[in-house]
Amino acid sequence: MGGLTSLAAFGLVALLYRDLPRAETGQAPPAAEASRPAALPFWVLWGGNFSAQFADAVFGSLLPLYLLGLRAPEEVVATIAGVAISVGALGAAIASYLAPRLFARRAVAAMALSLVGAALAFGPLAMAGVWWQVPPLRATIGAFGGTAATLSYVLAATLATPGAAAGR
Amino acid sequence: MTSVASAGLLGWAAGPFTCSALAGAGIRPVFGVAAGLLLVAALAALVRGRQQHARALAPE
Repeated sequence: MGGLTSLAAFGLVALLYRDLPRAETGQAPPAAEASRPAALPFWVLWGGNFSAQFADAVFGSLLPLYLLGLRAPEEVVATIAGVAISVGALGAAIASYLAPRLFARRAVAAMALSLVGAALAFGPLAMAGVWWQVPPLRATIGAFGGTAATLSYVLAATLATPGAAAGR
Repeated sequence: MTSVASAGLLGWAAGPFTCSALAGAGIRPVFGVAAGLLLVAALAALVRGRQQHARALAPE
């Protein structure tokens, strides 16, 4: 199941990702619009990305034990844990694709709200009473975390000087 | 940009470590740590974003 989800993620990226040169798009990149008028200080972007990735990675080591605590069938605990981690990564990948396109003009607010959304999703996860609640909540946290992390990259790119942005 | 990416990798590495370090207390306290970090980061982004926005709109 985890392999299938990874293949689905790979297929989505291969199908949807287009790296068009700036001249072909005929418009300024979303990153340039996102910074104005509100560009966040660097340390805020650093903290946002750190916390989003922390929240995304925190599941790995103890998730099978948590699932056992939620009375998941022992013979499929590894499968359920793999599914939970995979759907989280898939949610983050989809959010990373969509977020800069949907929220470029309001990147600061969208980043803050997605950080709040991920934090709030930990509540139901901590209070989960049955194991099947874990994968959808993991996907929700992945989607919010992916949005926040990607938007922090978008906002960080706008802080670069023109020379640095051009690779000089 | 590169340093923001490094922050992401650092968070990605610190997550499982924190989870393992607090294993004795259970996974729920780790969820609390993660949620707390996210809320602090969100608050910082909202506050500094509003400050920057107000500064940009203020007359010269």
